[in-house]
Amino acid sequence: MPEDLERQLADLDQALRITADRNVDKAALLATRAQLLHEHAERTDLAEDRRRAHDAVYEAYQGALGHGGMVLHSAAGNWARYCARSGDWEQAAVAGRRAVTAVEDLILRQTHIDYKQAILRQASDLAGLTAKALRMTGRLPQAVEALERGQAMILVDQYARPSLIEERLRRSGHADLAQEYRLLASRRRSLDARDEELRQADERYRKLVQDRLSAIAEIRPLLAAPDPIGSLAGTPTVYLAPEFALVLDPAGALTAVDLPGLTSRALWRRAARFTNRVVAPANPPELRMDTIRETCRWLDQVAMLPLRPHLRGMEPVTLIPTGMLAGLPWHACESALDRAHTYLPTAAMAAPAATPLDAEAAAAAIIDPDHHGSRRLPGTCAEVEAMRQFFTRTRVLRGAEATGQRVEAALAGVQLAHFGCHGVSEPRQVLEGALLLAGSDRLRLRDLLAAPSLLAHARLVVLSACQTSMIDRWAPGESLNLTTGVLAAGAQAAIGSLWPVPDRATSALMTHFYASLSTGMTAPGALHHAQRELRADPTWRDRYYWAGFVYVGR
Amino acid sequence: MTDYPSTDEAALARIAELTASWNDGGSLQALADAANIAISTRWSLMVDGNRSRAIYELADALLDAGVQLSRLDVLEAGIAVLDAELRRLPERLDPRSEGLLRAKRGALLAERHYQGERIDDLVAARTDLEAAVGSLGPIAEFIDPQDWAWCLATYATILSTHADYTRSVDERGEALEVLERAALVSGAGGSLRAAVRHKLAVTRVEYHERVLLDDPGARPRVLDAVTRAIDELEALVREGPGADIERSTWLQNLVQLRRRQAELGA
Repeated sequence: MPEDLERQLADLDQALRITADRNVDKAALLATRAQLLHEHAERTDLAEDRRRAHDAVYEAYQGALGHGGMVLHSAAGNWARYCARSGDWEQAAVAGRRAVTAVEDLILRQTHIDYKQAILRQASDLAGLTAKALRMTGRLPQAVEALERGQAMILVDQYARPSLIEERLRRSGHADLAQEYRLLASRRRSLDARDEELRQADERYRKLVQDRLSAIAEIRPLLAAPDPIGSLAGTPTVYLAPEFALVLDPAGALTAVDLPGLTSRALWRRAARFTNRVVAPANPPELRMDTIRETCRWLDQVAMLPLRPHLRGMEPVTLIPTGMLAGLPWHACESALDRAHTYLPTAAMAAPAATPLDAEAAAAAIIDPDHHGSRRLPGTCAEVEAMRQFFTRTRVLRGAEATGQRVEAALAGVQLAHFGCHGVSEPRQVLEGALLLAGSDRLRLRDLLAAPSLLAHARLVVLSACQTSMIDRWAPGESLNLTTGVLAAGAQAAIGSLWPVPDRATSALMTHFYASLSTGMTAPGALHHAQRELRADPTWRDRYYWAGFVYVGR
Repeated sequence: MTDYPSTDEAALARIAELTASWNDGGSLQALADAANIAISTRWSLMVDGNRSRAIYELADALLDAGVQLSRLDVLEAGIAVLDAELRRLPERLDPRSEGLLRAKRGALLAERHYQGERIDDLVAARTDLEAAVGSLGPIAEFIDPQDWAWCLATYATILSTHADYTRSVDERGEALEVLERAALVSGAGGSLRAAVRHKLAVTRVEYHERVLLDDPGARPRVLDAVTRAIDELEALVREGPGADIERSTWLQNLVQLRRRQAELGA
């Protein structure tokens, strides 16, 4: 063993000797020791070194079991990876679950959504590894649950699950309890309350859930692990994870498909490149086009082509790309072009399949708001004209009329809403992502989350704006953006954008979209058809122009 | 069962006695009894510097116990004792006591965050220390230099920890600046001086590492900071006064710094 490593280990052993067993620092010391031995073993690749590293990682895991939080998450995650590498899938599944649970508990302990997001950004994405371990031991339904647990944790805990619970309470004749529950659920997710108020609201919420809701038979299943397979019944769905996918067919049968080329390492590189070159503003179109093309080629090769035989006869297919697989244009791969796709961040956010909109649907269009310092969007006029051709009850707010107050009033009770405006995203302050309205007004993600009934009647919200479905690369599984914010605000489905798309191309796409919708197609079908129309047009043939918009919902 | 003294003087004496008993290796029960007396006594004066000092010392002992035993409930007792005293003190009538008490409460909240990982504790700690440093700064010459150095060092630690979440380079820079102020007043020796030296060395590295994320040209500065930090920590391990819990941290950080030095290719 090299002298410097011996010295390092001696220092750590000295530190371990003087640290009390119960102290969380001891777990951190064991983790550092494991890290050193692991790195040494990686360098030498000697069996003896590998054995020492293995034992140290296990010791660190055992040492962390008495604690929780990030110490346990990190140590359990490392042990899960070690077990996975050596093919001990049972142990990998146990450790992986512990790691995911540790981070879930930590997130639930935080008061404000910003703090929850901060924790997610520090955590490793272990849901995929845990699901793989379960898949390797033949437990496919548990693998689906593991993937689900790692997805959209904040949105599910604060919006999707409470919404389901409240509805179930009302339907089972507990109207007063539903009201009380609604009030507490709302207080605990308040974005403006002080931390102490949030903490107290959270404690009262938990007490209500524990003391009263858990005693109601109809509610108990919603409090326990959710049933993603049940909630997706009839919907062909593909869970995409590193190195494998799980296909759920309309009859409810689950199939695992190995995708050995879809490694975490390769994904991380590709996703980072995609974010830097395609999603980041101010890059030249040629760079975006090349990167989108290259990404789709790779995704096709490693995932969509191998999946194709398993999706025969299924359309539309719902994709749930987990963790860092989110935010990539799966639907634009060559072998995926012949069918419509929808996306969901998690089965828990699946509303009942959106019913087609008819011409009498109450609709609102917010078009080219006159926002200070922003470029005008003349192409949005064509979008709203196409929309009004069929949806004759569309109320239009245009230019200076599209103030925050008027927009809020216009959205009340609508079944269809269209936003043709600028969108901005703030990767470091996700809640400040916004649609730009007239003057200096903005409809921020924060505003949507603070008003979970704003779009309660909306079957579809079209965000014809840039970057509304952007993923936070530091916490990709969370899918916290304007598109999912619209779902949290009550809409059944939404269309949003993965990258900044030029006005004229967007206008052409939306015009085709509404024309297709008016023929009775479903919204996913209409979007797919519109994309196909643009592909056939030499001006808009490149994916950059037509593949940026995605349908989120069932 | 706690024996409640009948006068302020007797209560203060009892609190001091029980706190000293813990500091001399006594049981946790002594601190529990002291906390009960501090909270439950019907104190006759609103502002009493001696009482505030006694409660400050008690809270310090509870912090020490909470850290050594990894006990959240002990930390919460400390916070409760300080909350009660701060509620008694009318605002700004005794800025020195108020500032020190808030600083101590901030330290307890920061430790509660470390053990319980609730970010709102860290945010509350930051608020307390920011207020404490703000109110004690103008009267620093009237405060024990060790208390003032400790306040600054604690504030800097909290800023650094918060910057771990926010990844803010400004916050890292602010932490460094506050630590440099602490170093100026922390005296030549002693365990506080050792703690400030350690924290300053590590925070310099953290600051330059953060700058490196935005500026790849900062690599030499990172290496320089790492090398200097290794020298400082090796000196501390050799000769620095410090409790086991601190020495354990120095050793761990030394290991991590040497790893980083090797990565940077020194």
